[in-house]
Amino acid sequence: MQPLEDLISLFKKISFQSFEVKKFNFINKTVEEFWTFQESNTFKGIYIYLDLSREDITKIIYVGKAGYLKKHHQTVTSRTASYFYTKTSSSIAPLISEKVFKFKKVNRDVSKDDLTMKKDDFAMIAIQIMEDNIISPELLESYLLAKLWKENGYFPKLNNKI
Amino acid sequence: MKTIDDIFEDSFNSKDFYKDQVSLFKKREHFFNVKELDMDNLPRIVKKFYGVFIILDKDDNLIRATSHGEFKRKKGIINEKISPSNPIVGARRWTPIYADIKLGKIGLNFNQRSAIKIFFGIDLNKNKEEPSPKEKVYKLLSKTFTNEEIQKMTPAEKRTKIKNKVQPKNFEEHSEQWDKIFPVVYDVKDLNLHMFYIEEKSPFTPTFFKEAIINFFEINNKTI
Repeated sequence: MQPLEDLISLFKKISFQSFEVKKFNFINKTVEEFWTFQESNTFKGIYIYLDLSREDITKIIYVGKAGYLKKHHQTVTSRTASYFYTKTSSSIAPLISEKVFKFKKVNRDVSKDDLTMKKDDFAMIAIQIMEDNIISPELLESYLLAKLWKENGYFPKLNNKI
Repeated sequence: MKTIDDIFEDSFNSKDFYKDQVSLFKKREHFFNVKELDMDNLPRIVKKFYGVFIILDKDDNLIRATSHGEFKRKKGIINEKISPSNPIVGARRWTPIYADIKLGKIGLNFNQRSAIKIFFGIDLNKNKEEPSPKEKVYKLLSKTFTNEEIQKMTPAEKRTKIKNKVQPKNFEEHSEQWDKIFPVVYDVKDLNLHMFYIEEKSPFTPTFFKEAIINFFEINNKTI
């Protein structure tokens, strides 16, 4: 997706290399693999949720941030924990049935219908920042949201302000 | 006009990023040095301001940056207009910054409980404990609600209604006690205050521009 590609190109232009892009989707994967992924994002950064049933950039349904420019305990894993039904609440969490994924909550004002999707349509990208004091998660989040809204006229359906 | 990508890149690769932005915004008459403004005759775009407000110390170190105006989605509807707010003549009560340029003060990190005690003589208290004293709570809320309505409110609802009663005039009337309302109070004459006006049709958002500026100052060790 172009805004994400633009961001990675900018990282090169500013000689920023201390980042890692990680992706997950459920296709041919188990919930155990979801939790392994979810718990592996132990750095600050931004996270992007996708609905793969949609077209092009409208696949992006949420952009969020975790942590701050300076050293801080918040990570993508810790920031996003409340978005998902926990392993202790159900053996199939974050799914609510064999083929259906549901966010526990994202933002207020989000319609309940928007929290649910087919399991194989859910995907997540984490762009993690491995070093402090170089680039802030707030800047990356606001960059992507500004690109989506100002250059593409698109407002991710689970975000409520840009 | 710079694009989102230009601003992102320049904020890292140009040591003159901030100066350049000031020049670019000045050319479009969208930059304001607050000290040079006639507070009795403010330009229209300052009165109804969208953009980024910057507080610098005398040595141009960044103290705080705030953005004004967001595009919002409410109940599924995207509002393509952004609400203006004026950061220099009485910011809204819930902002952690309160600036009153005529008064010559800027307070940071608003302490709401202390402010309400000073403004209304009311202790908000916590959890199931009622705000007190009762007669002051009723006197304040009776301007908007009947006694019966107030009686029906939970302590938490009363606290919310009391907090909503804080107005800019309260800050003006208690200017001598700002040091109790804000942990940090600056004298405006010790600061440089800049306003970058960002229109709704601008190629970037106020939030993004604010973050680019903060990141620039942070990575160049020019923050307080």
